[in-house]
Amino acid sequence: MAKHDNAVGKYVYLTVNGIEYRVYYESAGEGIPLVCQHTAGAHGFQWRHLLEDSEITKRFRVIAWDLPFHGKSLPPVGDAHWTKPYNLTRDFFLKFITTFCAELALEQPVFMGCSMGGQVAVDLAAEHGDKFRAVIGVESSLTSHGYYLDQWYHPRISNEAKPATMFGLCAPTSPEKYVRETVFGYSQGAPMVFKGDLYYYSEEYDGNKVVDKIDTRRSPVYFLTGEYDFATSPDMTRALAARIKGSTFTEMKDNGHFPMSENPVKFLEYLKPILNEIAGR
Amino acid sequence: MALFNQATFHDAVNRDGEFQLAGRFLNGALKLYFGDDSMLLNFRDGKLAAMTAGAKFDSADVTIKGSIANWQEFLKPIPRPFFHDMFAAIVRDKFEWAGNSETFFAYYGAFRRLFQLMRDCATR
Repeated sequence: MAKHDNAVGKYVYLTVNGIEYRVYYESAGEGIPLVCQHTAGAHGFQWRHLLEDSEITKRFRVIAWDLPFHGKSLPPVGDAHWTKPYNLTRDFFLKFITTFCAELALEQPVFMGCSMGGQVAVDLAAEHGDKFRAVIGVESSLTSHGYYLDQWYHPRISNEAKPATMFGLCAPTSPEKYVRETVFGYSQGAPMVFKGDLYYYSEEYDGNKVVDKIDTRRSPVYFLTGEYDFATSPDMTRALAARIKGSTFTEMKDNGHFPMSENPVKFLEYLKPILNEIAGR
Repeated sequence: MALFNQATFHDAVNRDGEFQLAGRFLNGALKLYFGDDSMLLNFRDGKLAAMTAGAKFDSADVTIKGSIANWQEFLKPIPRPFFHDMFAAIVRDKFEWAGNSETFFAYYGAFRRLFQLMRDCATR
């Protein structure tokens, strides 16, 4: 008898800004939809431990997609994407997430995202809070300027440079086998994608402009940040949470910028109480 | 007292499989400043060919500078946040780097492993 994981992969066709995308996603479980956004330059593999956690999947339908251009979601065939720079925009990002949830008829899903996903959690709470049961920002901050750099997409620097720098975003206390897996995921990205994602993360995103729109009575907002995250330090998330009345923030010991993939056991210790609270509302 | 056992470190670098892979085709010099003192590491074809005390007018492809106190924290088995990795420490202004960007980024994987081996050889 073959050994399988529980997660099942599918493709869905979504149209955003007039362009059709064939989007890959994995899902497992039943109950409250919990949609998960990966970090810049990565793909949905980062959430695999969540997809396999029976304590979570017995109450939540966990869904992790690969954004277009990431993982198994290829670039759109109906657009000459090779003639222009790849840059993830705030407009596309928000429309993609809300279109995905609408097309799959997900009723009041919980949104959780990490890094650029943590930043878009803030934008979603501000612009579409009525569509989400709750929002969980992992490694979120008010701003993350200064990372949209040429060295992330340069013909003379190979795809090895990005993964190598990702080691520094992981905690030294995270299990090496999962740190290596997290870093390997970064070596799989197409050359232009990491820098292009940072256009949203580092150039367009500005939490200062939207925090006042967030109503946590409508949609609760939770933040989690790893103590070793040098890109988004716990103090940076603390400053963000202080600007959103009713939001909660927890610093995660023994974790870095990729808690769900670099130290999943520790991450789930922090996440499960939040999910319990959301399920009990 | 030296911050790490240099002979053990030199040997460890040239025996390390991960360094051999990440440092393939590496030719050049890395100069490290430990406070006012410096050390020059010369690489030839991916091997650490020589490790000598630095001199004032040494040229190096990449230079990394840190205070003794910061190196001591960096070389702990489990350093405080932002001392746990050289790139993290540079971004967070614990260390400074200068030199050729292409070499620094192309070989950051090799340098990262080198610093991990240095940590393993730290005197405590």
